[in-house]
Amino acid sequence: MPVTLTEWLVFIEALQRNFAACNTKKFYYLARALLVKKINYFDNFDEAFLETFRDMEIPLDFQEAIEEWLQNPFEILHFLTPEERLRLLENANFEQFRKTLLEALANFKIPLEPSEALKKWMQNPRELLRMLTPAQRAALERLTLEELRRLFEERMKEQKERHNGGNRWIGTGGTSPFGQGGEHPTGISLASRTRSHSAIQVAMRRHFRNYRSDIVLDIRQIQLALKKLRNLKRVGLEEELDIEETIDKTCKNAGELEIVMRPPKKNRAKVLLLMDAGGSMDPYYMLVNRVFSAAYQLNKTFKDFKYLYFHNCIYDRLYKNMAFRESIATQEVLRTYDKDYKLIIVGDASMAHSELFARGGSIDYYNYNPTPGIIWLKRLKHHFEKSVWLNPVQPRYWYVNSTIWYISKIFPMFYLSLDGLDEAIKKLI
Amino acid sequence: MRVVPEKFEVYNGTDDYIVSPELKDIVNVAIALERPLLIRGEPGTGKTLLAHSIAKGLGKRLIVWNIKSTTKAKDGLYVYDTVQRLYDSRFGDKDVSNIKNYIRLGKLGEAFTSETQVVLLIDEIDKADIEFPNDLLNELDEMSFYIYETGETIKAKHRPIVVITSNAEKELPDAFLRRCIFHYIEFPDPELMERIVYVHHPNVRKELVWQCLEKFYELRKVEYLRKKPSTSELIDWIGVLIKAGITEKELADGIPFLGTLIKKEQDYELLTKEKGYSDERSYY
Repeated sequence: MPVTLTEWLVFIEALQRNFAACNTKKFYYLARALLVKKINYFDNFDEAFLETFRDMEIPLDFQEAIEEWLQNPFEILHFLTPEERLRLLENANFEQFRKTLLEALANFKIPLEPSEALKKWMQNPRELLRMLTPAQRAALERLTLEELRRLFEERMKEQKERHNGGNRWIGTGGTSPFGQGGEHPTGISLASRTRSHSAIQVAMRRHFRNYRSDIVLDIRQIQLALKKLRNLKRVGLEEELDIEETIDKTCKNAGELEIVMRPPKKNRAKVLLLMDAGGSMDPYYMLVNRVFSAAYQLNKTFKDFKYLYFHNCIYDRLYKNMAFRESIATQEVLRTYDKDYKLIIVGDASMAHSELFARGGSIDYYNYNPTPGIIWLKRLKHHFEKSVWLNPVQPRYWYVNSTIWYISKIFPMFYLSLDGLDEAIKKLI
Repeated sequence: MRVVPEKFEVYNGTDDYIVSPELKDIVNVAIALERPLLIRGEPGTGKTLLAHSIAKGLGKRLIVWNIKSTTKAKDGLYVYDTVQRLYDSRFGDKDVSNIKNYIRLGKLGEAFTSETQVVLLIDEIDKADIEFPNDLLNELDEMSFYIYETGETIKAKHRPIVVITSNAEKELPDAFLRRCIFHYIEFPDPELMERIVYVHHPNVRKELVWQCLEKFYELRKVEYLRKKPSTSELIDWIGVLIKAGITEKELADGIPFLGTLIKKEQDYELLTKEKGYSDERSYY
């Protein structure tokens, strides 16, 4: 989490002027606003905040924590790692926790009949968590979630009468109200009336986990590299004053003013991006995604920006999306895109030799390719004036006689790093 | 020793804009520290409206600088109208000797020269070229700029309250970020959303709102949507439902006027064909 001295000083100034007003929640937001300027780092900030304040605050806000937990148990638990969860439970006075929970449930007049696992978990969470494999733990969480959801549904029916004609309220069609894949669980919190999150609870939600990026090559860096891909030409409306030419013409006109306008410079560069979305690219998914977003965000800078996907190697069809559903004939691509498109291929170029050299070598059983991949690669190379291949695989693995090696004989190949990208762009200009 | 919070003009939100307590605090900190406030968040989280609300709440004039992809930093400072001057020189009916007559101030210049403190909204800064924010660093730091043609320095009489919004379309440069106070507006939770709905439709029945919110958050969870419905679409949709006199019963199974919520055709097809949503009213 990069914090500069200036930012730190401003933060100290803010504290001195008592903007945090001795309130942890205000302190949390103040510190974040002044020190953390990118959403990617919000999660690191949450972590640091928890690390510092966890032990201090939980006993104080105990009652509030329980209420919050009752209203939305998984909002907190969902976002914790098993270790963090363990620590939370260690720090809490669990006997009291359970007592309050049971009392509260009794108050809501809900018959408490949780599943065996839930009961066990409530009695001794530490023991249970330790015994489970991650897969089992996940399974338990699902089970518990269902159970809890049912309790909430009933509670809500009794309490708020929000159901209109007994309509479904939570979890329509079996979709989880907590969102999938750690998404922000908003659905169920409709039930809660009190929303006084303490700072620690806000931090504990870890909403920003998905925004995290511990990757070196960030989008901005890629954009700056891609922006060098320029082909400036004067086109469009004449809206810029050509001073040189105006002076010239005016002189020739014996001092009678003659104004000359010209169109401003515009980038004429056209880019065609082909990306490997095959299984072997999975480890590089984030990186490739980043290149794509960088280019995509820049699409206004280029005259034209088009992208297509392929699976391991390029054959007679290219795909319009990563699901490989809509496709376009490679021949069609060669026909519709002029030779002055800059071709950028991103892929690991790693495949079985047959996939590159054999007829019908495509890994896709149902997509028999009458022409070997290497022929298609050569056709592409031949068609486009400028082309490069960006490879996320480190150059030390580019062995002689590997498919990487053969493909690098066709396309100028560069390692997908900042330097490699810079080199590749130079090749394209 | 107890530190007493000092006094400065305090923004407290306005009737027509619901502000979360933490955002309100951050706004006040930004005003007190005299630093630009950078607001990010999904579309429909009320980034732009915040500036309007600050201006209204503090009773100050709002100057809006809408950024487009072609906007240059200099456009915000001043424009020197060379062509007009050249033309005028031919007829001699205007005083072309004074170059000042041909300097037109941009939005930033306007904010600096205002006799009273203003709120300056730089809207959607990420729309411009990626170098754009860097070109404004000095001007926003010093709150002054230099006009080369006249040798004049324009210095802010009162430092404007600067609010900058960004859709996170492009990454902003670090040097720029360092100078800002940053807040990310999270998408409103259902409870806050309910309050927002009542600001726009004060007389709508509670039951209808709850049901709409349920459908709305359900739709936002559908995977592969190209554009999730946002606050403004929800407000419009509820408006349409009220006008059409839709009852809770009719809303039970289908989503009438789905097109108000879902703007992309592919999304609409995905929902109606694959996910089994219906835009028909249901009758019982």
